[in-house]
Amino acid sequence: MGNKIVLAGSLDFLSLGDILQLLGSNGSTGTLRIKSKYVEEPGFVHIIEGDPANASTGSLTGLEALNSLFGWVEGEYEFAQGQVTEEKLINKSRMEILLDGLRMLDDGEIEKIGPVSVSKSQDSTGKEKDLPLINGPLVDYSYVVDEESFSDGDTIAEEGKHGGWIWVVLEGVINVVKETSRGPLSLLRLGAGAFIGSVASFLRGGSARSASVLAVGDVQVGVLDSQRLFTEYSGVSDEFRGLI
Amino acid sequence: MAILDLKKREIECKIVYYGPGRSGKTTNLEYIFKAFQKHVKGEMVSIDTEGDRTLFFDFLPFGIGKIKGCDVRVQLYTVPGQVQYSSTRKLVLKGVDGVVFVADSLEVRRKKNMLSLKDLEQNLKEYGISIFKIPLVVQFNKRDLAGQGIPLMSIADMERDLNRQLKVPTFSASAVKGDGVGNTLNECLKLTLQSIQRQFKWAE
Repeated sequence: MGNKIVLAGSLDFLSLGDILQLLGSNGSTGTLRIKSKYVEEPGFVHIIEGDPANASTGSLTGLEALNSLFGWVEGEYEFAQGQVTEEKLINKSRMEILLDGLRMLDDGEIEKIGPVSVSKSQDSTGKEKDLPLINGPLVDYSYVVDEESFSDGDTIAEEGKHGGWIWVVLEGVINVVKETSRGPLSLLRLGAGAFIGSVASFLRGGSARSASVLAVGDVQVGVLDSQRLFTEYSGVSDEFRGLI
Repeated sequence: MAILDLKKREIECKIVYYGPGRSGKTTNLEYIFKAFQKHVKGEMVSIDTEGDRTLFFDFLPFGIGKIKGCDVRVQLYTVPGQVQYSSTRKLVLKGVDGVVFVADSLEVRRKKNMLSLKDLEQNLKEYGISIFKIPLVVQFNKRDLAGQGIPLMSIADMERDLNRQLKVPTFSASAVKGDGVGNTLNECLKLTLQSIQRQFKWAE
């Protein structure tokens, strides 16, 4: 091919979104090649006059391939300037590609490919993990003594604050968020049937919440009868308690 | 951070509409897109982020003159406030030149307004931008609902809640009717361009 490499670097310094904006405002034509040690085949984005025209990864082509590349959180890239002979399969505007791709990444629709770390010391990018939605077992209404509604963004429980009750999500989705030195880190997304709070909340009075719980969209939670749960808990065998 | 394109003799800057969910950010931009069509370049990009849509389009304010012989092009964005949209927010807020904070006048949204403003401050800090230094305008939206018997906060209360320390220009608005939308944008543009001119002066 003999095309000259005019720009190269690492994705943890400039993300794919940053590079596409840079090449876009520059009106460049050429091919961006991305390598990740977590993926066997490199990814390619073919750019004509600043706009992504086509892309490919091992198994995908076109817009699908480009979108999957937003999930490559670690890797190296090289941009080789030169004529692009690949077919123009991508027709969306550059901004729409970027904003939609990042939305999908944030919504967990694109798989993040890179190291997974939760601990503060390893969290170099401060990015939020890809969170699957966890639903709990069927809600047993016999334990629910009260219902509360929350709207989008509301804090249902706050990290560090004390709370002795347990909730179950009746409707909607909640986000369990922990504060780190880099800002909030989402740990879990829970849906209907999942529980907020733990056995510890009724064993020891006044234990602090280990994370904050925020509502995503409108959420209905049911407050559980801690008293009854505690009574039942005391009634089970020691082995069973060890399991809980 | 305004970008200078010497080839096109254009300065490109970015203004972002921020605020709690459903406060009227997208309504503001949709109104601008329709009412100032001749200033709009290209199409409006609309992304279905959960809760608040993410909107974007290019805006060319004419009649404001050139800066260093270059035309000014403004990228207008709304950004979703939901916790999960960190990558989107990062792309949009990075290098932002001016902000319009759209506050919801409904009494029940009082806390949401303050939390969102705190959030904005935090997000800007992550990109090394101080909320006290960036060109910022606050809009008190949904004023028209007073006529429908829905409890609204008074302007005085909202000023105290949101503008006590910032002391930035504020505007009453009803984005759904278009009232105050143009004024808010104009003031933000003015402050943003003044800031850009200052930046280029220092570079001389």
